[in-house]
Amino acid sequence: MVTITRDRYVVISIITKEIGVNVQSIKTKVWHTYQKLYGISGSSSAGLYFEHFDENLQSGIIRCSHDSLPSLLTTLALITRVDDKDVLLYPSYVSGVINKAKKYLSKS
Amino acid sequence: MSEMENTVKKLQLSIESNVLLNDSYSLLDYIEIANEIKIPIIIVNGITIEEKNKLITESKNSKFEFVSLTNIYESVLDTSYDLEQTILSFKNYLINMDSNQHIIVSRKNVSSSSIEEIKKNLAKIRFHHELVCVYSNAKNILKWVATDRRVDFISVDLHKNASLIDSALCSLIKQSGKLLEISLSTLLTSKDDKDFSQILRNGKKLMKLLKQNHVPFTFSMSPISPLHLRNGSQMRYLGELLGISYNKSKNSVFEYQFSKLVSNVIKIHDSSIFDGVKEVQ
Repeated sequence: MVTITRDRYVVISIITKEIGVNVQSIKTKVWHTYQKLYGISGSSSAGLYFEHFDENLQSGIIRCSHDSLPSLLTTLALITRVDDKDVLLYPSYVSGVINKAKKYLSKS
Repeated sequence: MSEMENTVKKLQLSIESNVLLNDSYSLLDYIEIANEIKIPIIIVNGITIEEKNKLITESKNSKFEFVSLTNIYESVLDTSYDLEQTILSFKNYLINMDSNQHIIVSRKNVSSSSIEEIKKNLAKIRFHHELVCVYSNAKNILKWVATDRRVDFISVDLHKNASLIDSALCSLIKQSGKLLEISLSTLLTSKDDKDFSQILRNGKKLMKLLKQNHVPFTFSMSPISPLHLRNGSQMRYLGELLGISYNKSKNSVFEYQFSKLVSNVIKIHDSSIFDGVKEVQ
């Protein structure tokens, strides 16, 4: 039987008052927080992938499997500091189709 | 606004029920973030109704406009005595509100080590604040507070006083129609992993108890900085960490607080004579 994993694309906005929040540090922080909460096994099955990040817009798209969407959103809600700077990672839109997520990102 | 947009907005409604202003952050800092993450109602701790009205008047020329629930009540005021109908009118107003408008509510946290002192404080403050909350580390105070009509919320910190809540207190809270307010800020401010796991353990224990006794509870972030604000949906996801499923915390981020708030606004309003009776022109 063929099983297809359904993906979800989460558009996140990086809200911060400080400048110079590195995108790479955000990716590392999300990975570490996810692993801290759900372990290596959980993070491996989540299928986290950072599709696209726009440093100017301070927003990006994270892909995950549809089963791990609540876990990813919990992880994002727990992140308060990246690189010793206060940040808020706000999931503004969730879609099952990457083009819709990209369209939302370009509109916002 | 289309019907679909209205439905989406209705699902997104959330409240931050405990914002404490200090020298580092002003109300405008909080409102700026609340606007971005779509929180239309901000409950500010420590300000009186008069101070709130002053803030509202001052905001007329600023980027964000503050609105008072009393003003909304006056505009939606009807002759019906049905609380549910009034709440519905308030909600419709909220849904059709501009994105730069925010509702400001005054609240007071009472914390004391003796019942006598709390009695004195409650008598002084009740009509100066729209919401009154009590925090205590003593079980006898929590028991007394659970039966007092003037108190709206009993605050629980997952770090300190969560272990004081037991089945007897739960049934007392449920009987007297009080709400247990669970502060989630400790999840964001934990010192280390050991501390974090301790908070999760306390939270899971408390949630299990609340589920068993069917006690109504609410979530609040009690943020120490504007970037610690989280909207209703995010709070419900944080609640999942404490063992309460997303669907079961549906009313904990807006409905309970809002209905309590509306009933208090009606009680405090000039037209109200006593509970259920008001003056009509």
